[in-house]
Amino acid sequence: MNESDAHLDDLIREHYESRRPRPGRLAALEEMLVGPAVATKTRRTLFAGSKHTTVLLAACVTLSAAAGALLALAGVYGFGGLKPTTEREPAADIIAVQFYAEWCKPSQIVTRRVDALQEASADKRVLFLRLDLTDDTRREQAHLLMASLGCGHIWDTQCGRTGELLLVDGHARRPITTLNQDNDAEQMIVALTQALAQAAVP
Amino acid sequence: MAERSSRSQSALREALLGAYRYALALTRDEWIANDLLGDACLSVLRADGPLDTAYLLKAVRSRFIDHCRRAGGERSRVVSLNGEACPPARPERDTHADTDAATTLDRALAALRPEEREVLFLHAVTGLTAKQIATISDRPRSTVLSLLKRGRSKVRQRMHTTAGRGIDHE
Repeated sequence: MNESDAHLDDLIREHYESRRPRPGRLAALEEMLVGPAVATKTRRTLFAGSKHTTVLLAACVTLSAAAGALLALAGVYGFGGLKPTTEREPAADIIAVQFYAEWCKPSQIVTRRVDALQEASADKRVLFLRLDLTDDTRREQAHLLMASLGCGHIWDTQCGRTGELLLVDGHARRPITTLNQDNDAEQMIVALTQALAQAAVP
Repeated sequence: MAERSSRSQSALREALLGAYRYALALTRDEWIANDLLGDACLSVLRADGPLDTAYLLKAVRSRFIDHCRRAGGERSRVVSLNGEACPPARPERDTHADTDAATTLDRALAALRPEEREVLFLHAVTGLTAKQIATISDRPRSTVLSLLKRGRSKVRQRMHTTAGRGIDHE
């Protein structure tokens, strides 16, 4: 390698070293990979639905956050007002999170299939959640909702890509599979059935 | 113990930064690079792979090939990486006003084929040898050397041309 090549390599190195990911992105990924304390926590305990994870998630999802999330859900789905109840409702086995935007054509295709999927799985404990990412305000709201549901780490890794349907284990809060416009309604039903079988029992 | 923990954290951060820049070199799009990095980290977790630079780079590369496969059916075939159609990079602005060195280099790199940019990046930024790049990218060492030489030559030529045009323009 001659001097000219070395100089060009230096320029290229400087060029790339000035580029950095979005603010907070690295910290989020680090936390996802190794957890807040590298020395004491392994990746496995953070992501494999262990007892530590369950305790951690349970601590994160506080009563007020859960109430906020339910209110937000009522807003998203138009339930017409949630009835107060004294009985404790069972948790969803699967949370099907759809990342939707008005300007996203694949989102519209996926929406039709998700509607069909919702009808087909009416007897199962599946929470369907449609996150509207059409603009920054709604995106921010969606992010808050995911964090309130204890799925903030999923938001960080999914990066809010529209047109996707993410099946999340409702108990361990871990992503099971991602579906998109390439999957037809039947494939979605099969994927949901498999996800239900995989979902951890609390 | 605390020192070792902080050292491993900083090593991980460096590995993630390197992987992000590699994704950027492949895709030329910050958003897609961010997505690729996230997907790569997730795949490392799923496979319970090691958190080192080489493994992360390989994971990013695999995700990029997947990305090309997905996008290949919808967009025009521009160039291939391991035989996969890659989506075209975001078009660069073509104003004669930006003739400073950074912009010129950016455009010169943008004009390269992804495989040339990839090899140049891995050599110049990550400091890998041709043999190591050949291992990561599943290419013969001679091909890597050839891509490196061609990439450098194209960048140099493009930078000279743009600099000349800048002088003419003034």
